[in-house]
Amino acid sequence: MRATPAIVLTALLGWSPAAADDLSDIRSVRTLAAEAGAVIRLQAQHSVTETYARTMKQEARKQLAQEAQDAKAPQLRKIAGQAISALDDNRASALAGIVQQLFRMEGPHGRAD
Amino acid sequence: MGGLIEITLGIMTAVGGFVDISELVFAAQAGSRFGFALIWVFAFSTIGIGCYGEMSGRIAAIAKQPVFNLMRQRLGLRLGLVTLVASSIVNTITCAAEIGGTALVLHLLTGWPYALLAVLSTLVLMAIIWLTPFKWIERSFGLLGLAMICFAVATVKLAPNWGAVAFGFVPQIPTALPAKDLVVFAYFAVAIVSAVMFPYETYFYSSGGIEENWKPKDLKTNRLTTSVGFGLGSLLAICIMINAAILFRPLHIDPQLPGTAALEVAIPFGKAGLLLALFGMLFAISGAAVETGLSTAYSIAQFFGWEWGRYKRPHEAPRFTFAWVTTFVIALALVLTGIDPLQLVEWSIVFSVVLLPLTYLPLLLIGNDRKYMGEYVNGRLSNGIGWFFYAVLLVAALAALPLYFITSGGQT
Repeated sequence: MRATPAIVLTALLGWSPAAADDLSDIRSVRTLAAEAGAVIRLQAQHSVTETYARTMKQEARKQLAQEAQDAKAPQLRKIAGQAISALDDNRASALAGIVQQLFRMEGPHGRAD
Repeated sequence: MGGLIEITLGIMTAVGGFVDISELVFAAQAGSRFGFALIWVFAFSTIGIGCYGEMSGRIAAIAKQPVFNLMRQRLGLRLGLVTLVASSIVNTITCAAEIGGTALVLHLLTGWPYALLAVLSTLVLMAIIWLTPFKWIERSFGLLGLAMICFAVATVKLAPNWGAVAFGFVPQIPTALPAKDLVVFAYFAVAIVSAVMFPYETYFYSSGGIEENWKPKDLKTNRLTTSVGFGLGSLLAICIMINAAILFRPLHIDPQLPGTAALEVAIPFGKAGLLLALFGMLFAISGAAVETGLSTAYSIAQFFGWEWGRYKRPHEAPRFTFAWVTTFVIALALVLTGIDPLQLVEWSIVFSVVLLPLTYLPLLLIGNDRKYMGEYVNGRLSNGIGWFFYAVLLVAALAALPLYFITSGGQT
């Protein structure tokens, strides 16, 4: 469990700002969809208040709409649009599917567990 | 008996007041992103803030010197002024983030418009500062912030693998991560150091010591508050990280919405848990807004030698009063521009870490000066830890901005 400074330096030197932006967009849409999905599930279980659920979903929708407008990759803009539709219809399972799709798209940039 | 109550209250206030919006955000994000691997950074930084907090309290009790007075003496007028301007900007941005966070929590509780709640909460906080004595300001927010303990109760209920949690306290860098994720890991490590060792905490704590006219007999309370109080407060932040690792990581949530952290208590305890979490967050965050607003005014007034302190009536320290009122007004204006409070948190974290070496150097120098401190000068342990952390802060300050830009604020 030890890393040498050389690993960090290699990572710094090998950084591509464009790829970083794309990955950042994917991560944002993925986590917003995941957060919205969690709120919808908990709302269905009556584990959160209606006010909390409504405001969280509104905020997630607002940020997803921003991503759908600003994301550089057309495919990501489309997926963000699909996430908004799923959110509007309270379809937690559809959001979960979108989250999995985006997680795969993160590819080698993704988290290592 | 009275002394024991005083110590207990001091510790409880420190626990309840330890977590603010930056710790809430970064602990939840770090847990969801890296599991337990960053726990040690929280524990490590807590030793640092405990050491410097104790030093600043001791200097306040013995030398009766607040931090910014020392800064002008030890850094000189020019560098002291640069530090003052930079710290005032950072404090104001942090204050804006805390006001925005307060409004967001109220928005989640009431559904009322965010901008209206930002204005109302700023007015209420200003009225509280105007009307309430210092001790009551500090104690009431700190004690009400103790509702944050529900995050620790949630951790127990979630029953993590305690062996894995314990291993998280061992300094580690998870080399199994892809190299680029290691850079994000480094960014989070620096951000956590900054969030725990925020400069405003020292400004507020030492100014409070002078406000309350600490004497040598108060040094025991000072030691216990900065060790036990800060330590337990840090454990709360670590619990937020553990809960995020257990609950959010499998769902691929890297919290972007400030209200998401409350789900850590809602999932195990339902609506009651959610409301308790939001209540605790409300007082922890609004308490930090008060501290940052007052810290800016403390810094400016101490640097220029103005009358300062909440033990004076507002008209008895008019320039000090003007400074904190102006800080709140500018912070509110920032919030009303519509900037995301989480963006403000990131800026304040990154710029704070750059300021930390300048904040803590004068403390180390005065703490070692027998002319000011007499028999209460820094001991070997205090000096060793102090200088070690000073070196760590220098490295963190140099790394903070490059890491922020390379990782797009930890988003890549």
